[in-house]
Amino acid sequence: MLLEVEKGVVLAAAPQRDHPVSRGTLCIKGWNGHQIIHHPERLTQPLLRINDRLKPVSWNKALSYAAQRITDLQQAHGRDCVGVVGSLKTVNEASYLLGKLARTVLHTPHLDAPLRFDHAPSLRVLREQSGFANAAAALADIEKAGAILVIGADAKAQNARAGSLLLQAAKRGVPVIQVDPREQEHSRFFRLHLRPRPGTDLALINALSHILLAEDWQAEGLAGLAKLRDDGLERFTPAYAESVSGIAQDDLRSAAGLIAKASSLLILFGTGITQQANGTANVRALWNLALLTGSIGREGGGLLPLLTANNSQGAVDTGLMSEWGPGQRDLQEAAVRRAIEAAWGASLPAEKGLTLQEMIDHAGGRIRALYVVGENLAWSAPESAKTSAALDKLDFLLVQDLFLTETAARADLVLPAASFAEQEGSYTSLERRLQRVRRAIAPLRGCKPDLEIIQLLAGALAAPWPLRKAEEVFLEMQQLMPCYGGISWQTIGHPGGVLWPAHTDDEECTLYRKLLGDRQGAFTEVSTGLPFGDEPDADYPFTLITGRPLFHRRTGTLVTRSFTLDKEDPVATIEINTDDARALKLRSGWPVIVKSRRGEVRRTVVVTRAVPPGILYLPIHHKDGLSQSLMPSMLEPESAIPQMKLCAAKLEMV
Amino acid sequence: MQAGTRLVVNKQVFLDNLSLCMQKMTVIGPQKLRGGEVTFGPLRSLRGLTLDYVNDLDPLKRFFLPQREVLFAYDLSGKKPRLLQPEQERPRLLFGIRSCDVQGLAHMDGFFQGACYDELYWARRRNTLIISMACNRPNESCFCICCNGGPWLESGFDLQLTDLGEEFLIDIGSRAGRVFLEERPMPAVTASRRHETRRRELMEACDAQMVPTAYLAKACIQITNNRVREELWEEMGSECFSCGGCTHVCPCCTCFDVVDCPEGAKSGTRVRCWDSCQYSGFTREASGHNPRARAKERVKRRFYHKLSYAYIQQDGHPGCVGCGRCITVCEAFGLLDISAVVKRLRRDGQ
Repeated sequence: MLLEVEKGVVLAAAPQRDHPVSRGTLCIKGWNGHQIIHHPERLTQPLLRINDRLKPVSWNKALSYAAQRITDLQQAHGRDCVGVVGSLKTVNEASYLLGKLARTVLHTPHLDAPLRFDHAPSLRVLREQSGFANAAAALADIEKAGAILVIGADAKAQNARAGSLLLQAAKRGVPVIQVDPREQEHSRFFRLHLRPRPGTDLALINALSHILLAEDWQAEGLAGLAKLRDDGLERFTPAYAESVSGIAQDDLRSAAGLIAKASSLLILFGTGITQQANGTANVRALWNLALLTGSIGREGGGLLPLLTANNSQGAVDTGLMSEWGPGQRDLQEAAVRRAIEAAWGASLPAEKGLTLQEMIDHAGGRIRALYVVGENLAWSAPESAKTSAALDKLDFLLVQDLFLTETAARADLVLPAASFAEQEGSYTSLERRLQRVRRAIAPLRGCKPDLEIIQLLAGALAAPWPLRKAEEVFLEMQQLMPCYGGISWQTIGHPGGVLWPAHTDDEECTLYRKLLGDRQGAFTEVSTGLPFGDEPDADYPFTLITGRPLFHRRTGTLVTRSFTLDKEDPVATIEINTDDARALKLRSGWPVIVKSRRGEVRRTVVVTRAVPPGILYLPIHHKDGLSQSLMPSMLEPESAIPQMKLCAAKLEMV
Repeated sequence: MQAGTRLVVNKQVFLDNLSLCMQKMTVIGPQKLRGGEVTFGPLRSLRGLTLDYVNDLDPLKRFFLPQREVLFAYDLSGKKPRLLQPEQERPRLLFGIRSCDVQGLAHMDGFFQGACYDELYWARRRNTLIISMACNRPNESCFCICCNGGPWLESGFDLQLTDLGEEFLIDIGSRAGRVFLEERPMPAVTASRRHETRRRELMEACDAQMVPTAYLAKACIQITNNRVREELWEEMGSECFSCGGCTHVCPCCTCFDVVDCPEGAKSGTRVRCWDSCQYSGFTREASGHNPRARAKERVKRRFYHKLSYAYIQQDGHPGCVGCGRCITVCEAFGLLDISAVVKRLRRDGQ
């Protein structure tokens, strides 16, 4: 994306024709997102809570105060009383230094990124199976796929580029099988639309694998098939899957038939299958399905999780996830720890850190101070009321953001950060594309880039960190990140940057084949699945599912401050099936209260056949911000992702 | 020198004079970005200028109607309220603008005059000398020959250059253009038959490079007579990503929104920014009612506007100059740009 600047003011955004991914296109957020840069509500000076009010202070005072508070708390409660939450939006270099600050200067193991709430299961399974916590496919694979399975995602709304390529594939006649309870705008163009009961994806996916095996439709030369069949898949018969998911056996067979006939299978998936009790099991089942069709490491095949933010992958790569250090390396491995400790000249905390939801749950207990960079936790975490109360329990909440978000408003100290247009650094996209972002304008007066703030804070905490530029930090982090090896600062400055790893001479789309090496062929365990813990009953008769509409992004901090985007979606709605609406005597446009066992929100009814009977669809909306307040925060046992996709709910008239 | 007479000037001499202009005027011209893409922007010297370019993807209407501009700032802190107008800009020279964008300006002129007379737009128009470059390098998506948008024009420019290699052949389109030539030490000769022949050859070569895909006439007739099936609009509406890209890059699209941005209680700005008829907020009324709430209705309305009532019925020409930008920027690639839509309408009517 190009920005047009005049006299230090960003006037416009424009697409880039020679960019290999966007090819001259921008989504609605790309065209209008720049309106936030000069928004009058931008924070331009540090704010310190004095007598329960946030008051402007100088940077020097803010940084020394932060350092003092953190030091005092660490002396009183131990060094691991501090938690750090990284950003999915800032540059890789800032993320890397934030991880280094947490693990060496603060010496706390409690560091995590909000990716925990979206795709922790995807990353966990992909890393277990392939060694790499990232997509096992690229966007270009959508153009080469023999068949495409889209599950738990609305590609058009969540990633316009993926959605565009998917639509083009469908129009070319590529069989696209969509699995989603709700009908989406592009559903009509797809070959098959399977609408399972929410939370039953595991049975459906495993049944597809079951049929492939039963019909002997699997790819040739696979090892471990007997074990796969006997250790779990055998019970996922089409009849069983029908009884669980409600999908007719014939439809399951049709889907399996389309997959079997195709040269490769590409699987696009989203939070619809990860934010569940079976999040990790679902991704495992997808891995097995892709492997059965011989699609892992093949052009036009593989697994592509639709990560939600511009630098989600970068946050993983640079070491912001609790379990992995820079280069996605496992911090529990002794050799990895030694290497990182030698490079950083400091010891790493020995214990395993808390994950994001666990940090919130332990706020005021084990966690006394929290440093949150660019994340509006109060609205992004489930059970919003509980989250806000938890944040209030902290002895010290430090927030670094562009605006006074609902989280920043609860902080003891707020540091004003610079926007994407005011920073130098690099981003890594969902397909491992490492690209530079250049500063279009100087940081607004009073604001500082994340990279600088983190280094200044380290300095205030008495760490001898010189103030370095993004390029210097990039060179340092590369030493600890084999995946970024062989990539120069100059190369990532070209339009489209580089798809890592760059030290092979493979074609871009088939990079994964080499990466996988002899790991290919390893099926993963077949989980029998867990019931989701918030079943409908007589009091809460509906199953409520959430989704992100086209005009929304994360918690709406930026969307609401772009006047064009803000007016696109002014009404917070709830979608209900026509028959259910008739039974409840509800009409479109009427106000209603949506209640779950955790909270309630007021919404406007939309009566539609797009949702099946018994299901309510709640678009995540910025107006009340509380969509997540209804959703449960209980953790999926393997990846510690909150089960925030679905819950039981009821409607009450206003 | 007479308007309408074609002259020939040595290219280097012309460019040297352009360079001298940079001291007194803001000269905007085509320049290469990292990676090779060409965009128009202010030039500091001839070194940044490139003459070998396909047209900028970002339409040049932005120099007259910026994507975002402050209309005025207000300050209520003193005894009297103060209204601060934007500063007067330096005179500008837009060099190398392609014919499609010049033709687009003619559309915009029509919109911003009369009842919608817009001071800021016209201040910029009056302040800017247009030296266009007849198109010798169309993009693969260009179809200006279908819309009378180029590659050569008869009017709308102050000067129109044809690149003959060592020389520029110049069409004079206005008094301002003639004065520009007369005031500068540029030995000019009247174009000879050889020059005219070369110009014709270049025009024919350029025409031949364009695939005339956008036969608008039948689509115009079908739309004007309301003979397009609703199902087709329904399908196209479902395909649309509502990104607004087609309207943003269209040299003929003029729609904007005006918002107030208060900075505290006492001061603030009123800002104008591009809007798009493809956004649902564009037609939503204060009551919340939206006559075009669905993408289907917005897509339909866009093509009725482009191919029928607003342009054809009022002005006698379609609301398209054939620049082909909407083909490139459309997220529903190849489905909803004007060239694709007229093809679909034509086929649907058969």
